[in-house]
Amino acid sequence: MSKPRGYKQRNLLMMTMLAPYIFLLIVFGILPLFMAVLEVPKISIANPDGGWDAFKIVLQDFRFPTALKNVLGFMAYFVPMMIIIVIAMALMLDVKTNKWSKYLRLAYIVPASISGAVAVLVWWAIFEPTISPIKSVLHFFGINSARQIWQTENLVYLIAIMTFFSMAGNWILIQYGSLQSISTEIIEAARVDGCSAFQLAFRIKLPLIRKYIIYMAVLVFAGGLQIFVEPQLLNTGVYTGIASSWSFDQLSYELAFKSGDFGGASALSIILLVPSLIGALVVIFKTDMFDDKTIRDKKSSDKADL
Amino acid sequence: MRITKRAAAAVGVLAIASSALISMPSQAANPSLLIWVDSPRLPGAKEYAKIMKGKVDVKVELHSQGDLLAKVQLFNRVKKGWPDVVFGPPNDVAVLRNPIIGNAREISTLLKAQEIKNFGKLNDWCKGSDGKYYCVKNDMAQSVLWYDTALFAEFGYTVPTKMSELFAIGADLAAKHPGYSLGALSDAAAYSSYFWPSQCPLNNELSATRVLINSKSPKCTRVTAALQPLIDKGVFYPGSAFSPEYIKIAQEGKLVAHIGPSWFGEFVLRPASSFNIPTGRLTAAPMPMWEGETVNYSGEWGGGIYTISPHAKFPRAALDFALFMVGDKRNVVDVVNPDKSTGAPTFPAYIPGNKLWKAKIDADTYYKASPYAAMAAQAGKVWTGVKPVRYDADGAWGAAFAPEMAKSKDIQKALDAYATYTSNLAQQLGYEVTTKK
Amino acid sequence: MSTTIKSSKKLKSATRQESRVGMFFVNSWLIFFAVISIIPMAWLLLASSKTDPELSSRNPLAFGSFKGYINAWNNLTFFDNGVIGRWVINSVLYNAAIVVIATITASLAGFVISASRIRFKKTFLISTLIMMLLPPVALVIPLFVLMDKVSLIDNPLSVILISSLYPFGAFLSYIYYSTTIPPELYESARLDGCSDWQLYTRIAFPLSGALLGLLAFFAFIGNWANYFMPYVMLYSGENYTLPLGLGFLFSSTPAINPGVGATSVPIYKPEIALAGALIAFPIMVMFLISQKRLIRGMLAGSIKE
Repeated sequence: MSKPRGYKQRNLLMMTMLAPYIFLLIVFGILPLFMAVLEVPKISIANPDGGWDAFKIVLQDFRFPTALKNVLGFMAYFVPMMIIIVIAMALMLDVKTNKWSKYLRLAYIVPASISGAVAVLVWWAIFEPTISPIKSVLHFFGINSARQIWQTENLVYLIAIMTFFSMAGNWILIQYGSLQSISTEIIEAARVDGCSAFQLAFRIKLPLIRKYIIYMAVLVFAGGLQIFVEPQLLNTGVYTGIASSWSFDQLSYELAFKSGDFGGASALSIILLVPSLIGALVVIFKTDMFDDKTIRDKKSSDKADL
Repeated sequence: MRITKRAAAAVGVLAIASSALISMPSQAANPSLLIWVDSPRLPGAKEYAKIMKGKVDVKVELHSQGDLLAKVQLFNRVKKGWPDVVFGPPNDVAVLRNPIIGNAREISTLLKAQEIKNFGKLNDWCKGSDGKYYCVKNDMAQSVLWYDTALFAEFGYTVPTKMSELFAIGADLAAKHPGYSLGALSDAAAYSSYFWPSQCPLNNELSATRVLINSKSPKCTRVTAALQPLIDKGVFYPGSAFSPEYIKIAQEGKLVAHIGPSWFGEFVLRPASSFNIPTGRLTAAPMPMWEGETVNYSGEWGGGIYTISPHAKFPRAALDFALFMVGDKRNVVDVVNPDKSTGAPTFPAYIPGNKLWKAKIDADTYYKASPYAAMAAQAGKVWTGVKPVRYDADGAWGAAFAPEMAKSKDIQKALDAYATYTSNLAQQLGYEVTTKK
Repeated sequence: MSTTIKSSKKLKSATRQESRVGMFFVNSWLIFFAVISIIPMAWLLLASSKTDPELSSRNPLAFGSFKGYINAWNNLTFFDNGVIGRWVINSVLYNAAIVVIATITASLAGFVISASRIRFKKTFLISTLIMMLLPPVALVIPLFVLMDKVSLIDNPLSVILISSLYPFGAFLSYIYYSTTIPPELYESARLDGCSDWQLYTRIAFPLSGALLGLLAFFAFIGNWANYFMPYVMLYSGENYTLPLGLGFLFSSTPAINPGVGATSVPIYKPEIALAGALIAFPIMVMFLISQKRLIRGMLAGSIKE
């Protein structure tokens, strides 16, 4: 491939624009990641002799199998629910944009704005039939005592609901933004061709925001695998300990901050990174995420289909 | 890449400059003290800083309980940052004493003879198996029998001195006064009120490497056997005393008696947002005794501790602060709390402070009769078989016991779940778990 | 002839009706979801107007009194001579710095990766991806040790720098630029003699409105309530952020953790509810500011093909 003149100079300028991010990435990302790997064999209470056994010790932790069961069960509900509802909501919002849609989107991010100790209080209140703002709904389902809700086997659903509400609003915003960036000309052209709203959504809009959807799927998957905040909130709430070491990330946190076992915590984090990363890379390379060329070709073929 | 390096260098230079500024030797000869406390202890600590001005440079920081435990390994790694004296939950002393962590100083050598005398039996929790003290207990949380004198009179009950008498009251309530309650049994309540006083071997550290956990011991099964029928009849509630459902029962005036820690009266039974039991009804009695025993032991629920870092440059100054908090009138009686009340909220674990506190609670007209006598009687009777352990024994009540109670309402099953969970935890942290002494 | 016209008319009105019914369902669902979403916030606002006992005795969605707000506010601000104000100022300052640095670095990075032909594009994207997939606990010790090496422990700069690494934003910008701006546009601009800097200022930046709005908003929402990094890095009260300080303050109160039982801190459910509503408020404001950039039409040359 022949390079145009001034290529080197150009590259330098591009590099300058990239440099601040790369600096942050290396110093606060890649370098600490390598240090984290080196942390694994250090001596800790659980690994008194040190060494790479830390991986084995973590996998043999009695809390690991429960965390595995919990997280997989949770993801089975959470991941499809997120992707389907978020995309559907974004498409619906995009059907007709008026001045009210701003306030709808504002409403959707409200649950995400409640965090920390306050979220503990809110979720506790919502699932407490005696004081819940949705107590009629709870009564309708025959729930009259909080003890019917706060059972270990219900946590999978509770946490899926909590996580969904705290994350859906943000992703609706992103996907709505991605739909908004589709040019009006394409939409108009399709309308003139007699596309119904459904056809427009599924045959035009979805293929055009494909990259965003893949991006979201990868992050929702990884976020599900690393679920931490919601079970930890439940765990520190009124029913203290109910979701103790419920997820992998909680176990990792527990190891680091309760047992002072940072080696074990690092080992677990690295183990967790593997499936997310493989999943992400497969999805990205199997699709056209990195390739601008194919996107254009595919898009034109999509258009030819119409 | 050159730019990246240069930027890194610039940050480095900046950092060196700022660290040079920070590490300038200060001319003051005063000892300095870094204190970490949680929000209820903050006013007392700030008061201490004010009193010591000119003599000791005291810096007080707000942290949550147990925060040091989370961060001590980070400080160990960079070899600085440790606070000199810290308020934390009672079990932390075992973790901090672990040589790998090494952040609880032995304080016996710092204590004067009179101060050790002032501990009496109140600071036994902090006494290691070597007979030395490793922490200063802020307050006792010994269990006593809280009861409603009006309901006792109405139903014609006398104060039980034997556990069997208490359970007979339970059976009578179930038969003649259904809906009335003798307490809630989830969280650590069942433990501090029943299993611990019955000497049920859970979390009994035998040595630094051995812990005794046996939920099938007769000292445990006598508890579960006595409680189970009363749970089934609704006399004991299988959930948390803090759940709105139970609060409602208590607010309706259905709570006859509740074995609970010494702080239960002031913070659970009395507040309007909690049980809201009216003035002039409540008092406390000593713990009932289990059959075949000679001592009516108590358990404990809570009761924080002060630990002193071995890295403290002025350990005696750090100890002085802890003793101020538990023994000085200016904190125990006078300090203005964030809710504008005054004095220490709970039973001080130091005899001089405790005497000051007695006057305060004796003068309180809320209680039918002062509960102090019962508290004082039980303060020296906390069964010492239960020791601080290196795993989170308190957290395990919520993690293993409470969920099983909510599900099956079978207290023996719930206790077994607790024992299994803590046995696993203990092994993970290097204990050998045994079911026999 | 006439019948055909009739039937085609019928058909048209039928589709219109169908779409009207469809729109009704779409709108109802959108509104329904919005109502569910604001229930927690409505509860917080109502809860903070009541007293703690009223919370359990009265209807969950009943209003207490304005005095309730004042009382809760006084209890929050009375603590440690109003230290809460200090935490608010810290939070605002740190977040302003983080949002600016994160948005600029991430958007520039996304642009460069989509517009240039530098070699390590894939390495860059994969390492950015790894950073997003990595659990934060993994990096605690290394970051702490690094920050100690440059003496930034307990210094707000540590939190600002670490939080300014914004892989989520960098990746989002890459996707945005690579889907919004066709590479031909850069090619032709280059042929016209545009420098790379001009490619950014003349082509990419004018089309970045929606992106910068999203980036700034998510940088803000992600860091405004962040507890973990400040918790690890800062341990002096004067440096605390609002979530960190409130976390410490609330943790020893029975409203959140009844097991602690005894406390003399007047922080009950209404106080926490009020604090929650106040923390959430800036997020709403940030949304309304940043969403202005999300309106179709500002994007003159967006996805076309």
